[in-house]
Amino acid sequence: MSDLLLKINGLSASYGDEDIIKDVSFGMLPGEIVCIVGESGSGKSTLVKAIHGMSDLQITGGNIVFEGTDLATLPSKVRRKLMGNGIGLIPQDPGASFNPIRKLDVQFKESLAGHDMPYDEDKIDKMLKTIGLADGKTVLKNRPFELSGGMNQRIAIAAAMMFEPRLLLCDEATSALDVTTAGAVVEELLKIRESNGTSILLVTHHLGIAKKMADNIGIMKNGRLIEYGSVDKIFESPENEYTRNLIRDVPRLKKKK
Amino acid sequence: MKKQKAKLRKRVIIAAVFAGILVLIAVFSGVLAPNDPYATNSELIRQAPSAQFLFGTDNLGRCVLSRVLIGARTTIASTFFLVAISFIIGMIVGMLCGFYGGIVDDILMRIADLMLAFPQMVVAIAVAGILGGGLGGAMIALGITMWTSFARLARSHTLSIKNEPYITAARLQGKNGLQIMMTHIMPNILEPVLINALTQIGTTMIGISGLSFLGLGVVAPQAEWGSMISEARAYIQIAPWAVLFPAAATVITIIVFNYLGDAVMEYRKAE
Repeated sequence: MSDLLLKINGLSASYGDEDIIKDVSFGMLPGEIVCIVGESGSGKSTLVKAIHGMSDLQITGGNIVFEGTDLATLPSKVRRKLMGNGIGLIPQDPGASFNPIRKLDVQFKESLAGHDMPYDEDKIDKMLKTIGLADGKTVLKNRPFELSGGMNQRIAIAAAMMFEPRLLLCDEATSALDVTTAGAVVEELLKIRESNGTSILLVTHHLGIAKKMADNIGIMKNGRLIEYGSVDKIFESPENEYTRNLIRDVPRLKKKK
Repeated sequence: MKKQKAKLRKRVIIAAVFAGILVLIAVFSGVLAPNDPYATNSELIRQAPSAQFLFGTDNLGRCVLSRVLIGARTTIASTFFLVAISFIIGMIVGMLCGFYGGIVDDILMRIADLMLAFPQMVVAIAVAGILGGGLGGAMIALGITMWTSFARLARSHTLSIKNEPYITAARLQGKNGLQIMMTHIMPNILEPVLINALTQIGTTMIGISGLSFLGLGVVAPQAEWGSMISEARAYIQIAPWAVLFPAAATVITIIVFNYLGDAVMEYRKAE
């Protein structure tokens, strides 16, 4: 079990009185893609926030072990440094992770400097190319408010990737994108796993994306992880009634005869 | 929509041009004034407007036009200075309250509430009275309540952006509170607070002129519109021009700056 990259043991967390996520446990291997699927308010995003640790969320039970270390025991400075290089995040609205009125290259430089990493223009350019932005150097001369949402989202994904994290958290990373761009982002994420061996924890309400990407899928409902297993298992023989309904309710273009 | 925006932009430009002219007049009033605004002449008292004295003369034979021009400098400069100081203090307090919250927020905002509990002019009169006459006293008196509106606005805007992902991202970069406030919060909340400052110019001018009119601001013989009106109103029936011109200057300036503030606000809203 020690080769797990991320191990979540009986995790509960709350913003105040009531636990938003309750007793969640699962593990992730290096290079594994896990999708957490569930309806709005099921606690998916809260789970990501708990792992990321940069919010006023309180862990009320259990722990999160990353590369053998309980994250709660890390001093805040060490934990901060771990975010980015160790654990990257593509938030729900990735474009919002940039200050809208500052030039992107300045923000990239500051981000990297904050993690004692060099600003390698060519590397960033290459990264932006893989994410579909051919003219990266020019794009980075812009301020985020001058670019489209989809562009910002791609740049944010590139920014998260720039740190080459061992674990990438994606909180509905494709929700704000049109279908084509979302597809491209999914492809990119798969490529990134391929080339860097990055583990990806993807939170989504889109079962189609989960099916395409995931090695394992977790189903969340009311803050609990009600089912967890391989893609085949979840789609072929779901144990839980809720999972069966979820799969049945996926909208299809053509109805089966 | 585009047409409306173009119309609004035109309004902003027109208002800005007028405001610019007023500011230029204030800056170059020393050159523009045809006569010495402080030179008294017992032979020329209460002269009606003429070619030599376009706005006539006052009770001491001083050129009203020159005094109105020099007064523009006093009134406009002190207004700008006061608005700027209140703006800076308000921004700092508002950002501190919004960003750190907790006890800092509680204390500073309760002080602001206390200031707002009394009508601004009443507080200003009381404070100016305690501090004695003088432009400095009048400005402190008005400034005591003025920073609160900027602070409240800056605070609410800070609260609305402080949980934005890019602030979290800045924290992750290891930035401290001061750095985050200077590089991320201030530039993003500057605009609405600056527009508020623009709309406050008119009111502040009324305040400064009002206090001077009451004898709590500028002291004689310094030329200032409020004090000029106050001096001349005693003989308004004999020499109405001595009241009329500084009053008209006050009204026009206030209208122009209020109009500019409103125009900019509407333009930004349309955007």
